[in-house]
Amino acid sequence: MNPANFSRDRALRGDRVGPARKRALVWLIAGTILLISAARGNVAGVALALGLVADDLAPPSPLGAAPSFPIAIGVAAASPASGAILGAIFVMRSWLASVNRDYFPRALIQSLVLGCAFFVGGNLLAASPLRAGALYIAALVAIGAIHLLADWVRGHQPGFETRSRLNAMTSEPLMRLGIAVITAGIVASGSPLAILALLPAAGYLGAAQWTRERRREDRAAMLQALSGLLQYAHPYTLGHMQRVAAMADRLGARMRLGPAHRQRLAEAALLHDIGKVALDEAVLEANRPLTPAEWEHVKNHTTLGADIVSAANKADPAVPWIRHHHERMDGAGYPAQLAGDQIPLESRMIAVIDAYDAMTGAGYDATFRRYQPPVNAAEARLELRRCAGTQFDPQVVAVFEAVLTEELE
Amino acid sequence: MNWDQLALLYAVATSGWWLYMATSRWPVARWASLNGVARAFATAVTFRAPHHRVNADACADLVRRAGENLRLPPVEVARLRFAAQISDLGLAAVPHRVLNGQLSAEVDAVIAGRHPEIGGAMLDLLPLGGDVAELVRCHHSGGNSLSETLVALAGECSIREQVAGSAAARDLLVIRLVEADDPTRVDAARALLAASARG
Repeated sequence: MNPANFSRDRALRGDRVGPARKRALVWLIAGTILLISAARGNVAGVALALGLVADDLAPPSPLGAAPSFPIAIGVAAASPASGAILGAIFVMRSWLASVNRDYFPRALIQSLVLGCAFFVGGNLLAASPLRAGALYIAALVAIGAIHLLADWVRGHQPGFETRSRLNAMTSEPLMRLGIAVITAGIVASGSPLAILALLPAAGYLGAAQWTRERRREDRAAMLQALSGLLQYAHPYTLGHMQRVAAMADRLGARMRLGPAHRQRLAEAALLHDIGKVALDEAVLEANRPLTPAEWEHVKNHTTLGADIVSAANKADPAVPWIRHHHERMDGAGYPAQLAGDQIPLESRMIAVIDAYDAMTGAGYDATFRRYQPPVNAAEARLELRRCAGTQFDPQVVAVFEAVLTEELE
Repeated sequence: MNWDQLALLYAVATSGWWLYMATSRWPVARWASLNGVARAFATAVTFRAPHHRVNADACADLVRRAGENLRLPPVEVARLRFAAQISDLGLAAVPHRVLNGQLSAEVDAVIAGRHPEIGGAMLDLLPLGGDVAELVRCHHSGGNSLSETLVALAGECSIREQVAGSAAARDLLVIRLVEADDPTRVDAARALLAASARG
């Protein structure tokens, strides 16, 4: 599992319409609206068609972050009668551009609420371009509130999900406000050709989004490389960290973590053993039980791994997850002897997966860990159950077993 | 001014802004966004080889300031800074006993000495890595281009500062300045001196 592909993979699995057909449908609708609107001199329609095309060319994004959004605000502020049509178009946009199945109901609700709000608000407000700015800010606040409420209902940690969406929605704020105000003014003045002046701004928003996506992919590739660094030092870890990361994503989905949270968890799982890069391979590859001094040396890897990740970003939530992934529920773990709920949930999840993969030893060189040969999947599950409550979180073990069972079916 | 004129002005302004961001800020931001991960790489290598400790942050900052002194393009400065920070990642492939002073054979010293080449090979496998692989390969030997020379000089300066203090590092650079008959290297050494002095 490549965290960089996470969003795209989810999008592909969640899409109800294939990408090519989706694009064809969007352009067909946009083209129809454009032709009819241009023929009638309807600037609002031209603006909306432009927005739909801009959305399609840009990477998938939450509603408030889409290039079409400020255009739509401007249209609604200047032409109240378009509010109802706007709502219908956003419903269609939500269906076509849903990033994943989890997001689609939320996007639908946002679209319906916004469509009604535009119609009502547009009629209440005088057709003032400057008030388009106020309407845009109010709409962002409303969307943010809907996200928070949805996260709370689904039990997601809002810090992960809503923060990432709000960051996207509030990026390039002056550009977006400018689009909304200019659109409203142009629609009110009724000059169809002037709407083309919005092309550079809409294009800029899309280009900015593309660069952000590319930076995210670069970072994910570098994180993969960082985990790969361990494999140069300790080749026996080949595949282990990637398997743990892939399983962490599946376990996180089953435990109803939000998409951004799962992505962070997968990245942490990918790097959970990075601290071993500092360890002596002669100790790690010893064909015997370790001496107390050697064991102390190995135990350092949790703290070292946390320090390595912390060097990239001190505020990274993954730092404590990596530091505590060898704690035990009964407090007999390391490095901090945390117990029960003191241990971050994510650390408890990584602990279960890490132990399972270590026990089954899939892909390990057979000469490694000769003093503790690998076991089959059924025995590993038995061992997890036996240690549930003492070493592992019993709830996490139960959900993990359900994930394993699903994979076998 | 009516709305049509305002729209036209807005179009010109956003086009100009787009051009500026695409040619200047976004390429720099692409490298800058990786500084944190580069720092993580450098920390990992430092944990593995504590006796080989080079302050990667200081070296990277030295390269950045020297590059600015030389009026290199901002994207090049960002690239050099990244390369300086990540230059020793090849040490991860060198055996622990070799890195920590237990050389048992000449071949161990050769392996350790090949870490720039190993690091370059690692970076060749990464999407952005190819852009800095050659810099990493040359970070102890120096190279033909100004960029390669700068990264190599800065790395050497940083090591000497760690070992013997800033005065020794500057002495080194003065010697380089005197010995160099290549204006490019003279300029690079001067820029490093200026950057060290400011720091």
